[in-house]
Amino acid sequence: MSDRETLKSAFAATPQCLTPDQLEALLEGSHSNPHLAECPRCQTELAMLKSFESGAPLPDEGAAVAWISSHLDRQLTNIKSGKSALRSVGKKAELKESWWAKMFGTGGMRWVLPVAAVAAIGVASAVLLHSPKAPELQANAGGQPAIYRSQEVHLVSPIGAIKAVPEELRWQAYAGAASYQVVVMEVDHSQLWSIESKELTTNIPASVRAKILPGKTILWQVTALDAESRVLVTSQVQRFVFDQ
Amino acid sequence: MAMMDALMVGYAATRGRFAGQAASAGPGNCDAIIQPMPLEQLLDEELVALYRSTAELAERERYVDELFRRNYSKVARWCLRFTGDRESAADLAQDIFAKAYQSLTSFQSQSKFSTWLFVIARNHCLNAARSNSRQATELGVDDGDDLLLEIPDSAPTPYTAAERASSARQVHALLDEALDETEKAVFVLHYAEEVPLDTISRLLRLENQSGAKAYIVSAKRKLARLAQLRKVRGQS
Repeated sequence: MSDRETLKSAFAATPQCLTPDQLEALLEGSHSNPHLAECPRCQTELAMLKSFESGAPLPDEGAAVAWISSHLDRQLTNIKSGKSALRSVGKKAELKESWWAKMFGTGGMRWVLPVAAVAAIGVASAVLLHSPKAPELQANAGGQPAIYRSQEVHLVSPIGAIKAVPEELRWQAYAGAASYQVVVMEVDHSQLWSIESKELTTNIPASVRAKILPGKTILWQVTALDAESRVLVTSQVQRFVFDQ
Repeated sequence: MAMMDALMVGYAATRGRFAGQAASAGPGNCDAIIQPMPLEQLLDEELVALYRSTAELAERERYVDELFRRNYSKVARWCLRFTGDRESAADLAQDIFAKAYQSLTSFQSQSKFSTWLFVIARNHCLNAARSNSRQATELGVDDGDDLLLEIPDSAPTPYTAAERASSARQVHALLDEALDETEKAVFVLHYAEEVPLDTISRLLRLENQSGAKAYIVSAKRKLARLAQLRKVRGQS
């Protein structure tokens, strides 16, 4: 028997191994169990349950988690009906294959690619030969202070100490953004609420406003998305406190 | 089931509150409208119980929608740690909620709803990781094959079930003695559950530069040392 099979056998579940509800009780600290100390399998299961239940996302997870949550919300009806929902990776692969198949398939379309290539070369030549020389781009135009494109979304309000529970969140536009993913978080970065908006403002729902208590720091962050929901740029995490 | 019955009795009252029934209260006969409880204030387990006890379809689906929405980020985070990219994670998460929806009537309330959801998510993601791992290493060398050659095995022929069990117990004891918690978790996930090392690094949130691979290297070294020590003790 190979070592791998021996290892699999060593780590296989035994009748003494803990059930999910027993692991849950251990996670909450309400019980202890002697089997845990001697079972690497159960120790690993507990570590995974802890990872699943942990409210704090890693620093680079927030935007992706918000995107996935929005995606799930849009697909919820399909998910429940059992219809084949939009498969992000599969659909891209399917589109790429059909285009490829059309270009290089055994049908009558084989001539398309070389003809298109010749046409493209012709157009490119015409542009290069006839277009006027474009002026050089200068950040400093006519003595004005140099202007550089911002590398983040700028949040407008609420920021810092505020005198009333805010009713909306506002931010500045980012060039090229088709929509914005907004995430509101507790101070430990656990998510309170998220929404995708095509505007530069979004109303805060009553259920979230109810959690904005006096003296409690709330964080929020906005991610600019392009038309295909790819992340363009993310804002700094901004914080505000309802200072009654 | 007793717990489920208790939940059902409580939830009948909750439903009354949620539906905003009028009730007379006390000798003054002051009619008081019981304010409906917002969905957000109901526990996961209460939402499941209401879903199962409500006949009206639209109302049932509102309970499920709220239940799933409040667990999106948990499942999304879990799947993202398995896949490392949001599109694949979204696909896995869709499958998990589809399975949860199909199995919702089997939720027994012996554990929290999130623990039940964890089991579905765990199994689905592990199966996906195993499937990807097998495809990726089809032509590769199994790096576990020469791992335990130093472990003394007194059984003359290692091909019977009893002798296999004996080897497994020896390995179990060796790993338990030699490795720390994180090394054991990495070992179990990689060799028993066939999870790729980069996935394990994300899953266990290992922040060292080489991730899970460094733990495997360290663990192998410790095991080799302990096995050698046992061999020497056995010979002396």
